[in-house]
Amino acid sequence: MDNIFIKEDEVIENAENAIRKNIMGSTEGEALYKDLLYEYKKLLKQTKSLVKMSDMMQLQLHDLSRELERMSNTDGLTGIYNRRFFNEIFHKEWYSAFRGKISIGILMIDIDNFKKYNDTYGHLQGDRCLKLISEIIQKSVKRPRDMLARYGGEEFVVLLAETDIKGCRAVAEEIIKSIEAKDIKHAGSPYFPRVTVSVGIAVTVPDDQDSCEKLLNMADEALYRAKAAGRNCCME
Amino acid sequence: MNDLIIEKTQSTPYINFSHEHKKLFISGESFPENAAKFYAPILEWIKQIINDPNTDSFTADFEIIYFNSSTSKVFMTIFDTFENAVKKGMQITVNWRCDSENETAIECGEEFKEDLSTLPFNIVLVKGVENG
Repeated sequence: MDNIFIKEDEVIENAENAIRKNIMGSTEGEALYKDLLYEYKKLLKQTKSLVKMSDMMQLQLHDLSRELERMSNTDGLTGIYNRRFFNEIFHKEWYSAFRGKISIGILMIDIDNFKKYNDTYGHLQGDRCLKLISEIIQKSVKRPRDMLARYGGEEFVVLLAETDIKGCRAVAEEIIKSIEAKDIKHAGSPYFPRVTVSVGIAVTVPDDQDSCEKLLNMADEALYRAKAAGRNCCME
Repeated sequence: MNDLIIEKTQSTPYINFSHEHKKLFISGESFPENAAKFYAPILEWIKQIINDPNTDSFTADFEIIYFNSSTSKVFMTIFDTFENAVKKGMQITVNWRCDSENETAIECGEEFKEDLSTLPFNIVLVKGVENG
């Protein structure tokens, strides 16, 4: 079908055939019929334009709505997902893990001594560092259902669906190593001469006693332990 | 004939008909709940001006960034009325003003233009056309 106005075009064809066959009976009748047909053709042309314009407007609105959706889910600076969207997905994955009795993991990642980094290099360079770190972490978050989001200022969160403690640890260690290997200079750090991160790991198979918030708190507490243990490491 | 000025709202455009300057200006967005009701005074004004013996020419500027289907039907009726007046000897020019980056508005202008035969219809590209 190359035309959505098949029926309308058929009406015109039938009317034109009627004129050709001269079945009107009177000159007056034929003239009126021709005028009506002319008006019908004109109005149909208008309707076709109207539908076309309406389609264009709808497409534009649809594209805008997609773009707004993307913007509302994304962190403006780093381009990764934001905390709002993370919470939305985390809730869904949580209930999916709860129903399937499958383990789910959270990595809470914090850049070590980031305040000092900003003090030393300025906020613009600090922003560049955040962007670079998010890109490095993203490379270790590979599976389609895994998710990296910016959780706060210099804090990132990774959601690892269907992952046990061994899997979570492997991802956390890969992140720590790849950031260290990038060797981003950090002259203001009292601990390491380069940018490093600490990671808190929390894993659970959700049951009635558990909650999303509880798992996030566990990851946060583990992150504090990693900081206390000397930074540039992960703790469970 | 009196001038007609209608301030814009969230769903209706700003309208300014100046009898002295022989000019109609419509700008903004148009998706009124009842397009027939909203545009009735405008159509009435147009009817008056094209029948006014002291008016032999006028310009209509449309600067509409978003409009619904009912509005496009009203616009077609307006252009049709203009076209009939042009056939009777009146000089009317329509300027469809749109942002050079708003492809949809440009294409819609072209779509209106396609249906016309005698009415001069210019698509005028301008920078930074915004809501109203």
